[in-house]
Amino acid sequence: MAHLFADVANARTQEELSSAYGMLLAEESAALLNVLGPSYVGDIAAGASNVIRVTDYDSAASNGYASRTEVQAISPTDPAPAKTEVTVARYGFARQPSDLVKMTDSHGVLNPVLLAQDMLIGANQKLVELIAGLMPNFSATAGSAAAAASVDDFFDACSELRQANANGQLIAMLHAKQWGDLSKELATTSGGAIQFAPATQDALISRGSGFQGTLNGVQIYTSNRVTADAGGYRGGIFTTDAIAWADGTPVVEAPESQVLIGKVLFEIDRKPLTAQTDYVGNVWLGVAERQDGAGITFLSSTT
Amino acid sequence: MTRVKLNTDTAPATYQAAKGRRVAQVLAAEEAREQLPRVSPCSDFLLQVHPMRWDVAGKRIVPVPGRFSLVPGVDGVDEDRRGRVVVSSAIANRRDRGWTVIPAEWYEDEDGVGYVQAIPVKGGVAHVTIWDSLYPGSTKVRCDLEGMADWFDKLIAEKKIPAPSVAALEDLVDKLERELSKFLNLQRRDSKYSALAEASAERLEVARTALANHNDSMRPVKRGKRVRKTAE
Repeated sequence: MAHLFADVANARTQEELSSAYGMLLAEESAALLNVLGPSYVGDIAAGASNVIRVTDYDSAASNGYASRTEVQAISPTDPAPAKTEVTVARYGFARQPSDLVKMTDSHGVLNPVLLAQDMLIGANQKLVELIAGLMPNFSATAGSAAAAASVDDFFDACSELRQANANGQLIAMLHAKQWGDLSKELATTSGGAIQFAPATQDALISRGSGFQGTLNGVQIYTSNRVTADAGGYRGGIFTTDAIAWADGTPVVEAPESQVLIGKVLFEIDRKPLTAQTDYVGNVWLGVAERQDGAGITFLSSTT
Repeated sequence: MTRVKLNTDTAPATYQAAKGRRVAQVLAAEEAREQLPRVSPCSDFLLQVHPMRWDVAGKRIVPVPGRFSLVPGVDGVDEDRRGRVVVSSAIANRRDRGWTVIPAEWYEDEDGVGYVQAIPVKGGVAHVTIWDSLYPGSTKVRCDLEGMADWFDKLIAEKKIPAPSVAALEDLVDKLERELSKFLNLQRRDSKYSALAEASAERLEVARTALANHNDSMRPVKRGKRVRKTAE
């Protein structure tokens, strides 16, 4: 959709454009890709396919060594591989401000640098949204859609994951309402409050504004992209092995109008006939559930 | 809502009139936007159920459905050359993991086929089930659990989705027993938990009754071979 002067004229009258932009950016929190936790399984660039197949083998430890006599032959065991396919697809985003909109932009928000930055943040949030969309789909559940999220349910979920041998850092992806309910309970129970370490300024910078802190060692992220079904929010707690994600690096063919920012291909396309400029961002992403046992759906009521 | 004041001293009359009309239009659009539900936009999906995920809702045992996103790039969903969503391999993958993805055609009423509705919300479109209701300017999502449970009962009766097994019901009873004991403990400390304890007790009763009425008893696996304890 074109971004025309008529659309923002009333805002310009009151010089409210900067506050409007601030509100839009803050509507969804971000968690940075490199620290959120799901396992990164690769880039499809030059891979001849948009699908990355990951095979997880069981280890020798899970098959176990069998007891044998001095010269008794060992029967070889077959590994039991589990495969995950991550399909990478395109996500695009564009702005099309007119020259009039840009020349009257007294706050300087419609410049290529800020638009590119916006598109990078947007790509980040898209990945968070895709990951949040997988939370309802672990076969194990904790909590209930009939009650608010509770610290008890949270610890039950963690304990169930540990019983399933889900090793490594636990990460919780919760709806803001779920986190609100948990925080309320934490504030009124001293045990919970002691186990909670709020996010520091440094952690927010490195992990994104969606990072809330750690509760009993579990990193908590919130996203309002966590969905609600059958009267309940469906957040999740998982380890790195639960979710796989992949991406693609686009080819830069026209460096004068294209730039690669991380994995986002940012392009500027001038439309002189209509005095408009297209600012376009494209990113290629894919996510998939990898090991079901390494994650648990965390249910709580929406009311 | 943004309020706009025109500077009537400096703007020419014709400009003011034109601007007034435009401002009115923009304000009307803004007002309409403010009236939209404030639920986050989310993509189209199909429901999926798993044999071990059950809960008590509306005094009945109902599956806890998951969401199978119809978005290319999520859980093996792809798109073809014409941009149509391709789900066959992704659905097969979910089936391998024990899930039953419920096709849209399994629900039909006077309004059409399918159980997912698209509702405009602030910032886009939210896809929710037809049993969900969203409210203007609110983040609330209310679900008609009875209606949804009726439909799930019908699917179970038609053997389209699995009924709860004894093992799943026993897990549910265990979980609800833990929940009740938690609320009973909290109730001793604070009377505000009485209602929750009462509701939890009712839910536990529903689950226990379902377990007691289950036609199948929990069957052990086939007997194994006897093992030799000592060397000959």
